[in-house]
Amino acid sequence: MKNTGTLTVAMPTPKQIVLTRVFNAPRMLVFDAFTKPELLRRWFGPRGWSLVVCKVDFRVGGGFRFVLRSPEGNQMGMRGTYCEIDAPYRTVHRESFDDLPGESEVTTDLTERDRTTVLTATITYTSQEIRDAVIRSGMEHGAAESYDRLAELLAPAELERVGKP
Amino acid sequence: MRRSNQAESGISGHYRSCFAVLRRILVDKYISKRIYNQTVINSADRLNRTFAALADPTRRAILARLASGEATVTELMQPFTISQPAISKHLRVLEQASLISRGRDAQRRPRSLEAGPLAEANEWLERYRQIWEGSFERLDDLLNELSTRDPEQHPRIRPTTRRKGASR
Repeated sequence: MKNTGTLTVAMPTPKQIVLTRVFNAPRMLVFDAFTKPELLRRWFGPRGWSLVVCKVDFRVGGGFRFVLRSPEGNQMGMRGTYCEIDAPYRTVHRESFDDLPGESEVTTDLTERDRTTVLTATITYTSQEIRDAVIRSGMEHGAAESYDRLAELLAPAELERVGKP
Repeated sequence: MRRSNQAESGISGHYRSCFAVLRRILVDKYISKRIYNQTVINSADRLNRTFAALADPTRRAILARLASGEATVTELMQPFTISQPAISKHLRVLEQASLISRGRDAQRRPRSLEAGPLAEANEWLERYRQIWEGSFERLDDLLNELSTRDPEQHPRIRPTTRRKGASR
């Protein structure tokens, strides 16, 4: 049951990133995994990182505080506020990183399909500043040529959508 | 920095060794970092232009068409219902973002895809994807573990209300 789907990342507008991923579990479980600290601690963060602080006040107007620690001991803190909660379908929160300016708004939608759950997370950068900072921090990790996902970026569906009626 | 190289003699040798030391200091302490930062900032600016250009569906369709080979403006216009000036405007945006280039043929001026910036944008998205994928693979394992437990037993809601010995 391992990998139930590959994560796709798209940038439909310059200020938005959309992540889509299928999980082989009922929606309620996925929702819990995203909102309960005891579960978040077990998966959230890049490979090798651990969530050393995980406080969640899960209600509209409430917030969360995460501190991630890298294998080298570097820490990265982030915090957020919940704006909308519609369990187990949808949450909207605003988040910011301790080291980056600005905020982003994250909408998480869960759709159940044949006992699997499709996660769609839409990250909207509310300022050009934070979007640029995110891009810059991505660029700092060096370069490696990869044309593999070019097809994804230039989805063929686009041709049909704007093509001849 | 004023260190003179004993192997060198005369004024030119002195300057040469001074210059070498100066350059080493600059390259180690200053230039490399500055050039590095500059490169990162340039890349970020380039990425901004790329993503902004890619944000439009017509422009993405043009790129998708050019991915299968060069094409003239007339050829590019064919699948679309929009006007030639509108297509030209999109081509200009793509050109400014260095996503396409014009061929030498003065009559046809065929446009072709420039893969470099796209590859860079793609690579950025790929890196972003990898960061999240690492998280999500762990989440797969966790969900797997939780799913195989009795639904009433898994600790998703209130660990304290877990019923001991509930049958599977």
